Parts: sequence; C-alpha cells; structure tokens
Amino acid sequence: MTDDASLMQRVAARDAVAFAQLYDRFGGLVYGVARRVLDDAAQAEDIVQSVFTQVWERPAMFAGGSFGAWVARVARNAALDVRKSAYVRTREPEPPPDVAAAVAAEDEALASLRRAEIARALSTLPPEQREAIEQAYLLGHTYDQVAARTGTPLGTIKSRIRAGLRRLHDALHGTATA
Amino acid sequence: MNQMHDDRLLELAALYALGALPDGERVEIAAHLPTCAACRSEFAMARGSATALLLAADAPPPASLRARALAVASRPSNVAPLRRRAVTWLAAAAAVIALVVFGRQLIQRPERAWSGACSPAGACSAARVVAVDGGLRLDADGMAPAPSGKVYQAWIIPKGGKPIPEPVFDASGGHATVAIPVGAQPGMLVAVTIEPRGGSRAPTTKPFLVAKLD
Repeated sequence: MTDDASLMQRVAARDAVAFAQLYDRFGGLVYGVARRVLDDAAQAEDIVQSVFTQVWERPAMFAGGSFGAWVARVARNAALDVRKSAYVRTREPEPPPDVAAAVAAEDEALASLRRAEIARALSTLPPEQREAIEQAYLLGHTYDQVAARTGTPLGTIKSRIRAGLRRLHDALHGTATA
Repeated sequence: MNQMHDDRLLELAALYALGALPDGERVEIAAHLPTCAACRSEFAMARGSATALLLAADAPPPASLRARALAVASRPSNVAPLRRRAVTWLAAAAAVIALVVFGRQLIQRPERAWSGACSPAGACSAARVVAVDGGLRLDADGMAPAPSGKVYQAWIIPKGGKPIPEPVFDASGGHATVAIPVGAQPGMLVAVTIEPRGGSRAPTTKPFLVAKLD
C-alpha cells in the first residue's frame, strides 16, 4: 500500500493528523487544478475547502489506486461544476471494466514522476495542440465547441487533440524511462 | 474495418476519455469499446495524458487556506453518523458500477425525472431532478445569482434521515445545474439552501427548493 493510501485509511479512522498531512501533500494540486479551470483565486479556495471536506466526511469515495490522480480529477470535476453551472458539463466517463487496470497503471506511472518531469513533457506539445486539449479537458468543452471557439474545422480539432495526447504520452514515457 | 474507419473510432476513444464528445458519438463509442482492444488502449492512453495535465497544474495555495480546509476535522460532528453515510456512498458506488457494467442499456433507458417546488415562489421558476449516470442532476431556472458572500448548496435528505451536504454552486443567466453523486431512492428529498461561501455541514437556512423522489 502506498503512503497516500495508508494516510487515507487513517483519515477514514478519523485521524486529523493524517488529514493534515494529506492536505500538505495535495492541497497545492487541488488548488492548482481549480485555478486552471476557474481562473479565480477565491473560487479555487472554495473548491479546495469543499474537496477536503468531502475527503474527510466521505473517505470511502476513494477506492484505491493513485490518490493524487484521483483527487486531481475530483478537483477538476468540482471546479467544472462551478464553471459550467449555466449548462450541463460533459462528464468524464468511468473507465469501462476492461480499461480500468490500464488506467490505474497509467496513474501509478504518473505518480512516480516528479512535477518538473511532467512539466517538461508538457512543454514538448505544440501550442495549438496544448490549447485544444486544455479547452476540452480543463474548460469542459466538447470538441465541436472547441472547434467553434477556435474557428478550426471539426476534423482538424479531433486529430489535433488526439495527436497532442499521444505526443504527451510518448514524452512522459520517455521521461519515465530516462 | 478499413483504416479511415479505424482512425475515426480511435479519435472518438481518445475524446471520450476527456469527456469531450457530444451525446451521439459518446453513445456510439461507449458501445464500441467493449468490442475493440485498440480503442480501449487509446482510451487509457488519453486518460493518462489528461491526468498529467492536471498533475502539472500544482500551485502553492495561500497559507491562510490550510486552516480553512482542515477545519472540518476539528468540528464536533453534528451530522448523520459515519456508518449511515458509508451506506449512502456504497449505494452511489454501486450505481456507478452498474452504469459501467450496463452502460449501454442505461444510456438507452428513458430518464427518470421529478419536478421540484420553489418556495417562496420567486426563488426559482422551475426545477427538476433527473436520474443520470448513476447519480442525480438538479436543473433550476429563474434563479438570481447567490447573494454576495453566499453560495447555493444542494442537500440530500434520505427518508427519515438528516440532510447530507452536497455540492455548492451558483446560478448564471438565471439557470443552475448541479451534479449530485447519489443514486435515487424512494422518499429521498433533494433540497437547496443559501449558505456561507464554502458551504455548510448542516443547513443554516430554510430550503427554497425541494424535490421529492419516488
């Protein structure tokens, strides 16, 4: 069991010290994700408080795996709920059963990387690929909305997003094995 | 499967992992994934890259936030005991698992919906709760933005139980939508109150919107 998972077990047993350690490790991640989605410091702070309140009150929400990857997605979804209150946000689907193990393996591999290594991999993306991915994943737009917002043909946006995800994946793997 | 067709589906699998597909293509790829290992692999690749994007966003929070975020652990509990909350969450988790396993059938099943009542009458003009993706979605119209320093907060009130805090939200353009990760149960109430920013563990004002599920 990872350190983070054992901290979560202690949180479930009402250990406030473990809860504080969890905040010290991941408070910045939750805050940073919320800032990227909302671009508003006060709202991002609300998201941090809301996410950690949920973690304390409902520790069973975390079903194992990489805590960092999990809590980052919780923060993204919570921030998008605020950002997109005017209409239904597009939900990130649960991985289908056959894919769950592969997704968990990706999460674990990412958790072993330092933030600087991830940032370096991200910096290899051409700006238009990064922008398209960020508009879809961080701002919660469907690809046709991204196409309309950027004045780009639908087919171009689809292939641009996929190519960027693939390029980032390859860069991360390169970093991981270096 | 020819190459062009293959590439189109791989693109859909990657976009699906980001939650970036419109409804029609989302249903199409969700049905296709169980039959295609290449598309499942593309989904996992895309999800990993998207997660990396989140992990790279790490930023130092203001020092004052720590005490606020940790306050919940030092407050005396005035809400439902943990055991019952865990059961509620197991029910929600079970609903999510059911969605994953029976996703295609669930997507094609007609939605269940319940209308909500606004009181006083001007607080909102129309509200309904829809069962979707193993959870609930609340839609409300005719709502003013939350007062300064306040937010709207949703609550689940199980039959015979105490209110369970759900997400905080705001209205924009008179409309609000909030996802509540709890499966519908008979007799359950979905309610909305006005709360201080950051939300509350128990309601501090009278609900102005209530929907009863059957």
